[in-house]
Amino acid sequence: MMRLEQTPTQELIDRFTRIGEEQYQAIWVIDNARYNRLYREMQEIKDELKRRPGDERRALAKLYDHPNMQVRLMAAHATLAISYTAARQVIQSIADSGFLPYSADAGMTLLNLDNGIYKPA
Amino acid sequence: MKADAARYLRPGSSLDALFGVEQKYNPNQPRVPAGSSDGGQWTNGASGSAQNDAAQSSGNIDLGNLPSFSDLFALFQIAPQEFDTTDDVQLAGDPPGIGHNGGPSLDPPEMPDERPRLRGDRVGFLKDAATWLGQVGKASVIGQLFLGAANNVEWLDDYQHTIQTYNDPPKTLDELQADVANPEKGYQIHHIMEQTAAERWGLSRSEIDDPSNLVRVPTMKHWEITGWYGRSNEDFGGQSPREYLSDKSASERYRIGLYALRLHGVLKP
Repeated sequence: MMRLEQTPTQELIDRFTRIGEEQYQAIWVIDNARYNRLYREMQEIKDELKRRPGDERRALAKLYDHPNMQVRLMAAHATLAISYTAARQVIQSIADSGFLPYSADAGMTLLNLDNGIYKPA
Repeated sequence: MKADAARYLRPGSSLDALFGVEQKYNPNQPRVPAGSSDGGQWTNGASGSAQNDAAQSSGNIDLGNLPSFSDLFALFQIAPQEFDTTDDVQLAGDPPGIGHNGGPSLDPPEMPDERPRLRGDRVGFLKDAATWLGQVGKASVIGQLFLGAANNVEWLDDYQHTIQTYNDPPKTLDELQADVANPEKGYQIHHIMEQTAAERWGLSRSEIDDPSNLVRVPTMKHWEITGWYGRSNEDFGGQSPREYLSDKSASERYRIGLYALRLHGVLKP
């Protein structure tokens, strides 16, 4: 597999998307070991995008409309520091959906943003 | 649902009508976001394809249209499964998957007639079943038919209540605490401040099991909340909530514990 630094941005976004879809399934069946592994993989992609000139995490905003709720949620997390209002709206819409357990994750994020526990960077 | 499920109905009756009975409109049900080809249609939150046939217009149905119970058993596609003998390895076959992004179909989930060997497969079915029931309504005709069919699957004996209690409406804290005195199938006792972490933090057993820290919650909500505590979380700098709370005060643990109950639909806002 190509090293992350050499991987084109679009391919990183595609990987981000696939990982988010797998996270959705891991959360659904409450498989934390699998989820936490996927979380670390996604974190590496986010870090690589952030390192690129101009902070290419902003490219993840195109996933705000992705059909998979977990992909939308993680794309919003990844872009909160860049595009707070739009990203927060995505999180709010997931919280409002009431579709558990994803809506609970999103709802907690809103609370943690408001009380300062969560400081997106 | 089998594609030819309509064969179980009397001639002239409609499967759509059967599914339309007592269909509940849920304004909070996820929709495919605008901008996609299915924009605005009902979805389960995972897939881009609108899947909720059941959310279409209602029809009237006469219970005389219903088939015999043995046919209903077939209607819900209770199917033998072949099991991998390797633990912790995804079964071969066609898991609800990444291809169409998995999650619960809005059709009745297929019932395995044997207990799935892998925990993830069991939990996946139970979640699918509970979520589907929440969407069609436990008291609807199709919901009752599903539960009747499930009643004849031996391994589900232990999980019938677990499926049904998942959609309990939220209660007040007083109600949840009072329920602790009335253990029932389908519910578990939950510690608002997680007990393992509280022990590590040096709380005594009597403090951990104090009535103020105990609530009775639907079993699968208990699983979900416990799962949330253990997942890496962006909010907490990549730590799990459990890790984040490890050096926090009892009041902070309690506060987060109440939020978790509320956001998972157990505690009334």
